[in-house]
Amino acid sequence: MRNTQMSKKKRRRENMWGMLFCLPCILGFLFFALLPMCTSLYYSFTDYNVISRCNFVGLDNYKNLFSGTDPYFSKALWVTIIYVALSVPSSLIVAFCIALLLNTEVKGKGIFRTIFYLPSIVPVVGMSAVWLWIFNSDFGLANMLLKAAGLPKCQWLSSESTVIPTLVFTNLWTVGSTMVIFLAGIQDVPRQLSEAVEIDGGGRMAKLLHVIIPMMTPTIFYNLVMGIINGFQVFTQAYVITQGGPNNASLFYVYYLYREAFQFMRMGSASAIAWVLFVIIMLLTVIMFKLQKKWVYYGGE
Amino acid sequence: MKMKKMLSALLCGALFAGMGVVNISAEEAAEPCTITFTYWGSGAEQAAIEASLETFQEAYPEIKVNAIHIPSDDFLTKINSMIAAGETPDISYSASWKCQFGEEGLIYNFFDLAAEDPELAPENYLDTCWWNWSETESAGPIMANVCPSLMYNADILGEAGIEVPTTTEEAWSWDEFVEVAKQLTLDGDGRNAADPEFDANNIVQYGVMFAPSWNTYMSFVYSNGGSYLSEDGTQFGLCEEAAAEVLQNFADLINVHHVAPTSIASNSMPSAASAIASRQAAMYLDGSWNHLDLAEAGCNWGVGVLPISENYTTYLDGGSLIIFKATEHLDETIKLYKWITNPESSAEITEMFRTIWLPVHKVYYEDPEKLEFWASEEFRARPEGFKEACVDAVVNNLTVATEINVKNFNEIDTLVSAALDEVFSGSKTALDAMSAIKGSVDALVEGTYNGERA
Repeated sequence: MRNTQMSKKKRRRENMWGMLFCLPCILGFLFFALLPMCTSLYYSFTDYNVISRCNFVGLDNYKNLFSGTDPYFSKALWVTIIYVALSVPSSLIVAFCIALLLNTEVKGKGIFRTIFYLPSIVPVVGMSAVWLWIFNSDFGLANMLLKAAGLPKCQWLSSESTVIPTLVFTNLWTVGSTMVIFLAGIQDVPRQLSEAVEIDGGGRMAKLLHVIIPMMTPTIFYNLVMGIINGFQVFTQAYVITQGGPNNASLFYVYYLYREAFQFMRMGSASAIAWVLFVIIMLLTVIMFKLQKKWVYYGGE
Repeated sequence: MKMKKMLSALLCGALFAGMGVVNISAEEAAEPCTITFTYWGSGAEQAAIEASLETFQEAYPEIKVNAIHIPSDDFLTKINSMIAAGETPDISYSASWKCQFGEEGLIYNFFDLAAEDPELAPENYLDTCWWNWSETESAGPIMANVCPSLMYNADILGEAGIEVPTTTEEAWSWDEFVEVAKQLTLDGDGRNAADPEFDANNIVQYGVMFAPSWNTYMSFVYSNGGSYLSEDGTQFGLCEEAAAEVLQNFADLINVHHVAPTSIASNSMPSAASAIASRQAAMYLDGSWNHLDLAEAGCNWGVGVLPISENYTTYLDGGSLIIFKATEHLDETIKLYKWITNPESSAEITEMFRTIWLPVHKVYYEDPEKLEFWASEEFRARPEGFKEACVDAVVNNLTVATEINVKNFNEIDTLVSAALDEVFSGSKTALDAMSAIKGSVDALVEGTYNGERA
């Protein structure tokens, strides 16, 4: 009896300490995530612009978006979806391939891993300035190389049809963190399975298709979800490199949101735009979690 | 009689002495206060402002200035959050959003301040330089003017034997300008764009570069009889023939004449100073704010009048200083206002007016000595011909800048700029592209602040 009382007391105290240690995180979530979210939800039903009195306008902000009164909404959404559709698969494949290469036993493995991760540490703004120069259609390095090889010039960032592919390409530069996660996943693939393939006479391809990729599906799934979430929130490239142009062909959703809020001073409408994005990302994530049962393999099952 | 005179003299003396005493005691009594001043600007501008504020605080030891430099991209965001947090600055640089601030009653009507202080009398300032939010309410005159400017590499034009006109009487017509630009555009084999064998895919020196902004093209639009809004100010005007023709002319520089670079739509174009100094461009159409950078680039450069041969029309533009109603130290804030806007207040401010800014007080254009004070062609950023091309041609042909006058300009310009990308890329004609956005623009058009056509 005494013992159980002691342990109850102990457990309670442990709980208290546990809560205390979690508190910074919980408070951070409450004050820097939940509260601002609720506030912005409220503001999305108003015409809040910081400086004047804020009026309740009901669903007007949302109506403006979906009725086509806002000239940018559908374009911004469409452009962003195309960007996500191109950049997520391409960066996953590239990151996976680099991870496979870095997993091979070569001399100076550590150095190669460092080098391939380095671009992720470079500030995006600085990097963007360099890309801007490389892809300048008149004076840039890329066209200079094309010209030297006798190929026709490309408009890169200056043409509506090539701006998104160019930005997707520049995005491949930053796959470092995805790559590291893949690398860790690959190293966790049980050796005996690979050896089993070898014993059965399977080659590298068989190892990759029948062992590594199936074992990696949870990691791929994680990177896919994160890739989509981050892809929809792409901002810096549009802000620094293209400013949404040419002709809004790279008007990424979050850049459009930023412009609405901080250049046109329409916080209410910007809040509505943000909530639409939240719902879209939420839905996509839910769908992906539903679909994962079909292709993601968890070792325990 | 004598006695009376003496008495009156004595009385007068006593009066002045008394006033002196009052003045002195007023100054002694002035309590130390701090005013907050928010501004943006390049590194050079920041250094000049900071140094000048030091001298200001020496001249007025009772005033402490808390100067906050904010990058211009984040400026409005920061000001908004300062207001929301109850830390409104006393005085600030401002862009076109100031009119909204005025309508919301956040800032002083400059005309009210001027009524109290003859030094701020509106007639002292150029007539076209007012940021008004209604016909009787103003956020004040532009603080530091800039004008559209044609800049060029003097070595390139010298070698080609071309002289750039500096007076409106001699100004090139657009066709002449295109011919000159063709001569100055060179491919890798040294052929110019007028040569039938010219290789447009291998250009090493462009005849002209231009910033694709309203500041560049609106002078040409106005001179051509076009305008930003329609005659009655209720509709979009750039889709009308006279305006669209000008926009098409600019696009033709790129796609028809091959004398301007194609990557104009993104912000990847080199600045005027680097393009001219590195001989990527022989001529550059942009604003006078580039003059300081050009002077510092160390190349041989010059300025000319815009290639407008008839009905030369241009404008001065720039931000203005706004004084917030939240200030508790209005008198001190006005002192700072006068300090920064006075070209002669301190060496640092003077230097700004001799390199980047043009004055806004009439006297600096009318009095030859005062004109010489800031526009002397001895100064490094005031090349030969500056007084004719950037002073006379401008002040004698002024209209109100589009940005200052058109309501909702910021939002309309965002639509126009995007549509212009299509024009400059050659995928649409100017008339088609402008007509295509007319519906969206018309929804934003609310006329002009001064009630006249813009």
